[in-house]
Amino acid sequence: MMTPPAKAKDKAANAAPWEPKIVAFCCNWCSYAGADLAGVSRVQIPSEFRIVRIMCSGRIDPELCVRLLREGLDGVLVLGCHPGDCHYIDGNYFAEIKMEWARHLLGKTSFGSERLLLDWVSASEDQLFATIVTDFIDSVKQMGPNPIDDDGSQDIRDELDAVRMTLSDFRLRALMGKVRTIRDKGNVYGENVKRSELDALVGDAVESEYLRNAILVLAREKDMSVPELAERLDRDPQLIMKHVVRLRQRNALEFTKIEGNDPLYKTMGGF
Amino acid sequence: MADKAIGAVMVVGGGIAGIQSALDLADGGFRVYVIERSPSIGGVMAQLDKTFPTNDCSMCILAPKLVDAGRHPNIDLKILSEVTGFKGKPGNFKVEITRKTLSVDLDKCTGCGECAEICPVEGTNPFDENLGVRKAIYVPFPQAVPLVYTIDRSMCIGCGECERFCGPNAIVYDMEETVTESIKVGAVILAPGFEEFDPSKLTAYGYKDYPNVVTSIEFERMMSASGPTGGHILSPLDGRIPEKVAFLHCIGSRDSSLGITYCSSVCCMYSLKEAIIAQEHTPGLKTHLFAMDFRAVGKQFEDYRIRAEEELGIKITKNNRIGSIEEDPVTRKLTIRYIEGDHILDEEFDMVVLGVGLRPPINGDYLARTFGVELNEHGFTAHSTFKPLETNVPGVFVAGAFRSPKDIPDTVAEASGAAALAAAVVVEGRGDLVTEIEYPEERDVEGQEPRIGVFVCHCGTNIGGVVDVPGVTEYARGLPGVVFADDNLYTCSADTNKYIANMIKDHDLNRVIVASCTPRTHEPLFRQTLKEAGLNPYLFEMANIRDHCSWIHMHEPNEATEKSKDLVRMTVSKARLLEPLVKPRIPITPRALVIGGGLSGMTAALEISEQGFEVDLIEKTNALGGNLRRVTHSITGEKPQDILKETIAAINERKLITLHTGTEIETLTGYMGNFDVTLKDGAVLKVGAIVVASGAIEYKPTEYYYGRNPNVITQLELEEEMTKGAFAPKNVIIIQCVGARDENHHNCSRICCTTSMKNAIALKKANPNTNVYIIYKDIRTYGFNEDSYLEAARLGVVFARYSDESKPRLSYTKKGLVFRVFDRFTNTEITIAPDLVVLNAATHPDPKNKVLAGLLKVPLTQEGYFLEAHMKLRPVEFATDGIFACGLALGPKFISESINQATAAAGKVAAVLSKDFAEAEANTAEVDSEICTGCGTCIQVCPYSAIERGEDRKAVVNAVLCKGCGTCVATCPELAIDIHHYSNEQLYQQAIALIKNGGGA
Repeated sequence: MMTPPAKAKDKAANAAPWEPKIVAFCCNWCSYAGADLAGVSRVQIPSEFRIVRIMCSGRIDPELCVRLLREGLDGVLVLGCHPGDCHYIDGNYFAEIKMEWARHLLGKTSFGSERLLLDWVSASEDQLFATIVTDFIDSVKQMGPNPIDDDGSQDIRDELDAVRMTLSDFRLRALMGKVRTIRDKGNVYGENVKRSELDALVGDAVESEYLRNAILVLAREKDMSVPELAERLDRDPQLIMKHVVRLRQRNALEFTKIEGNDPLYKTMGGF
Repeated sequence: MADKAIGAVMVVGGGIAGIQSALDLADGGFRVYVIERSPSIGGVMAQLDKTFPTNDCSMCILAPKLVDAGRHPNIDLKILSEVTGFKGKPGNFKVEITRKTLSVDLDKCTGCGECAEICPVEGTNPFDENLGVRKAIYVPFPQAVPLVYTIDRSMCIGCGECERFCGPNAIVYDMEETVTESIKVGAVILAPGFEEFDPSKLTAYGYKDYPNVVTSIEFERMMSASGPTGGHILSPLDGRIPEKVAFLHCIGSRDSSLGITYCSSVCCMYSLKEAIIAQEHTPGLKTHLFAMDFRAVGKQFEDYRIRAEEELGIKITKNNRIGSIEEDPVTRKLTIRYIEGDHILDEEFDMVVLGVGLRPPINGDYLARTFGVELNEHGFTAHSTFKPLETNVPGVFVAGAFRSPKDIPDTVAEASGAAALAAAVVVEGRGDLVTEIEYPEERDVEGQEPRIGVFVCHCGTNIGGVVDVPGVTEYARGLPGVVFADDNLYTCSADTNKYIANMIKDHDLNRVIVASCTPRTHEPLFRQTLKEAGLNPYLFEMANIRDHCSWIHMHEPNEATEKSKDLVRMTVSKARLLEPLVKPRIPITPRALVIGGGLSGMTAALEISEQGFEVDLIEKTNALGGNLRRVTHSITGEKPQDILKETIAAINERKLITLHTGTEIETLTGYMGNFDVTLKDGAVLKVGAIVVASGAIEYKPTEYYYGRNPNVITQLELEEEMTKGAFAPKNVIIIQCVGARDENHHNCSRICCTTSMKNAIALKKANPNTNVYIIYKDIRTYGFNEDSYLEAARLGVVFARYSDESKPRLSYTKKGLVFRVFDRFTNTEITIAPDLVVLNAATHPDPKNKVLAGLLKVPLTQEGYFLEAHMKLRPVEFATDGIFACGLALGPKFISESINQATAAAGKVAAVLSKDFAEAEANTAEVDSEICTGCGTCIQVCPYSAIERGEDRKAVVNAVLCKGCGTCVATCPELAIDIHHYSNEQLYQQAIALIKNGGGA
């Protein structure tokens, strides 16, 4: 868990009372209808959320959610139909896979994953809608304002950039698109893949890709050595070295010069 | 042209059956009048919390149908109305309708609800089974269609407050009490539904005296999140959460003492559903069901039961009809006495739910007299097996629970079937009475700078009483791109819509925003206004500042006003990026393909041709008839073989039907309206719609020496033997559930119990001295099939019950067969030496379904039956447009049920083929082929098979199949897909506008 940087606290203390800025993406068929019913039933809910209507929770790209957080929204809520209720058959299952992925990645950062939430609300669950929204607002309020624009938040900005890049990664997006098929229908050999085995594979791929993007982000402005990267990313230098090799193979990272015993690397244009 | 059929149909009853019939007919080009006695359509389904076996939220799946019916230009909803006269002949009936007016001008009421806010009179709400509260002026439930208020005269004290507060002046106290009109239609569908059994006369259950004894429908309202207890199961006695709940089955069903002998068909499953949901809602809750037999006869119902018993620990005790409930006067606990094995047990519960049966509708007798329709001895409508939806009055059809107690999918299939039969009566009048609106030519707005008009609604005081509407309007005027803004008292009124159209012209607006209520109900209305003003309807957005703002922040006017400004600003940000869209038009080849020449396929082909369309009927064998060829007699006395001969003759005579026997499909490509099919015999077909009626097969038993001992045969073989004559077995044993409800085949075959009764009765009638034993797990003669069970018992058929732990054993010695079973009913071992053992071999899916499903790109169930688009509301459709299914291909069912489904599928096909073109969704996905690498990930996630690889392996979205969910967009690894109307940039700009006033980078 991150601690809000000093300036955020100041802002909260001095300026007009801070109100969290939260967007809730609601699918047309269940959660948006549940919100409508909350209105019809006059369920009273704190006002600090704004609904954006979408057709299906499956539409929500996790990258969009993180981009919105990166640009300063205090929280993003995605609400879909309950599993099995999806108007488009199974869009919400895909939403679940993608949101888990995004939250997992955010969990690796000091920003944390609590500002992004996926949940289910049916068209008749006005109370549940109110509860989920209220709890989310409360939890965002507890975390305080999004620290992204504060001085001294460069680390967080770098981390979220790495998350966004990871969420746009071709290999991972292709994998996420397949997870459900593999999980429910087996692999191409007609074998059942163990849930734990699949989860481990996905976990490894996500960790690797996140680290590589984090390296690219750190080496964007400044030439970096492996020990320096290892320290900033709090990982074993041996592991960082492996990713540096891979990134050089991909022509994403270039060798610039040697300082002392350490070669320095820089992110290449276009990454 | 006096004799030409009138292109209109009357549907009596606005429950799910009536709504489905109305939508099918209206889509098929006919005018429909829906006559509903209550103030809203929706019926009992609107009261339900969840539906079995998928636990779908009932209102979630029903509400879109209500809205569709409410706004369909070809459907007239006549609420608070009853039929008071009927005369004429098929194609030309005159029906008299009488409507109660109840002092509200339905055309003026906007449903804003201010009248109910001010109304001082509170009473109980029948929609909530009188557990909740409503005012004297009310809507029955929030999603009511039409959304208009009515006054309950029995409650109203005449204070005049509602009139004083009604903005649109819709309340007129001195209105005539009733209005009578005469409507001309060509056919009538009766769908009045059912009445719940009232258990108050059964004093032994204490329903009136013990507060914690409730009916199943009361329990259903408690479970509903929008019900009186907000979805919590609470004891009506003291408002506490119960720990143990009992469910008693067959209350007002299968009870000769009440003169109600039939089975209500749905209570076993709804009780189980209620137990499952109750346990999910209330951690630690224990439920116990008491039934005579547990009748889980529908598709995947048995899987549902197994999950409930094994995973949730729900207890089902069979062999028990509970006769009474005792309440402890001190603890108020309820005691139930039941039998388990050799023991008599007493068990205490906090609540008892009475699984009340389905009775004929309250106005059933009246409707029968008015229309001259015959009823059966149970008070439901009378039909023959082979004409299950037709009455004795030509042109008058029946669908749903008025025919017999039944669940929602059967009801929906019947509703579509009745619609198809009604359509065939009035087919010459197709298109005569439908409403077609002429729109002015669309203005070209391409390349223009956004000129946005914002209309902010007061909704009486609903919004204006909380939000500073003039302030929001003023704020909107200053937003980039906005050139006009105004506030209106009721933006949805006809006057304001005219005003919007004028402002579009006067200010040259090219985007329109209405900030008011929910787009789910009102977007279609405003889009219509745009079209009438010559603007593309997709240049419109709504900001929901009522349901999502003023109503849920009633006591925070400042916050609500700021939020309204934010919502308007966010909507303006999206509106700047709106683009005109056109619904793709798909040309339709007016010809159908029916796969399978059994009874279902033949019925579908005949009914499609009845509506004037050509049909290709393909049958893989060389003869028509399918499984029906082996059915020799029916329980209702009709002769199946005679009817089969007549049906085959009709197929051969019908010029519109082209028969292809001894062949199968080789290849199949295309989509709704345009399928290209080649057959293995080389024939090439081009069709617009497809019906799958490929049937199912009889299980070949491996048990009980079948195939090794000539005296062990299957049920169908028994029927063949019986027709040969000189067949006089002395001791016949019929074993149920062979190849069904076992480890390898979970589900129930639905029809076998009744088939056993049919054949047992025939054996007994042929020779009363024959001993017939039926060895069963549960007797599942649901509905009126129960009559056959009673008759078999009356004729002396002996029943013995086995369980999975004590399966029947057959041994084979030199002296002959010896049969042993431990009877769970009497708890004794029974030994019989039969000279004939009949195995009730289950219905199984055809293994060839896999190939066919692959060709059609439609899914199968795990078992291998075809899987329909939605278990409840789309029972004969696939998710893929233009492909339908019916009969045994979908799962085991009776002849009459197959005919209903086949007729329903035929009606759906005819509705598709009746149009020159179909309109698809406009907000579809589109692939940027410059970016696409052809990885195919999108193809895997698309639920509608709407994405294919083009020539260069790159993905191409077929816009006519795409439904616009956007899952491919959010999944595409290369970010190469975007979707119209919910594009990446539109969503981003709308969301980011919350923190960045001028829009984000």
